[in-house]
Amino acid sequence: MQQRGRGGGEGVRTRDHLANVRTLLAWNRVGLALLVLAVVVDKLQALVRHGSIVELGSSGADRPAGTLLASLGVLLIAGSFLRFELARRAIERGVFRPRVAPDLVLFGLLAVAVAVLAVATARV
Amino acid sequence: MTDSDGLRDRRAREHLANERTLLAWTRTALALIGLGFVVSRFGIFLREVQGTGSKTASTVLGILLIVAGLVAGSVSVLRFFRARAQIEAGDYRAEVWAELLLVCMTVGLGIALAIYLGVTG
Repeated sequence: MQQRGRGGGEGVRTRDHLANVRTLLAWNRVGLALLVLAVVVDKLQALVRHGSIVELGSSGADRPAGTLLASLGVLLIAGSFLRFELARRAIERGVFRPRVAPDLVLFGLLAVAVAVLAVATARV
Repeated sequence: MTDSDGLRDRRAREHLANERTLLAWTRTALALIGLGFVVSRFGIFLREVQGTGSKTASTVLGILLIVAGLVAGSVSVLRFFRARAQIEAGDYRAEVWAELLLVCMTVGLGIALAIYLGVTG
């Protein structure tokens, strides 16, 4: 099957697979970034809460932020693997897949994480 | 353009794609190592400053994350050379064991991290 400008056949499939892997790895890094932020947010909140920074108060309702962010990061990484597998099978079968649903879910999770971050930042 | 010229062109693009994939793996491995350092440093810092939290838990988690990063880095190099040979032979196979390993390690450690943050902090 000749595809103009892409070289056709075997090479295209190979490159599509490799591109799919890179996409998975990119999502992994997003999840890891959320995990880093989860640690930072949680530890800084702990610092405030235990009175080391006396002027700033904290209601204690901020406690879940770190765990929440970490959970979202984990969900993101797990979800990205699902997306990867779906795409891999489609590439193997040579079927172009214009699926938007997996990416919508992933970006939705990311939006929730950003909202959590925003709230946690605003409350400090 | 003759057939052999076309073949050489295709292989070049696959090889370059393979190398880009290796670099993406490297960035991911570095992200894991970075997370490991952040977890262990913040744990120690908090303990020094106010005596709360568990230094042991954060240190163990940090070390595990760094090890995961090193494993990911090593696996990616293996994959790179394996893929390179397959590409040269015109027989590239999409194997998923490395990606599955990475996701399992990261998800497992992420869950441990979420629990650690929930319990301490």
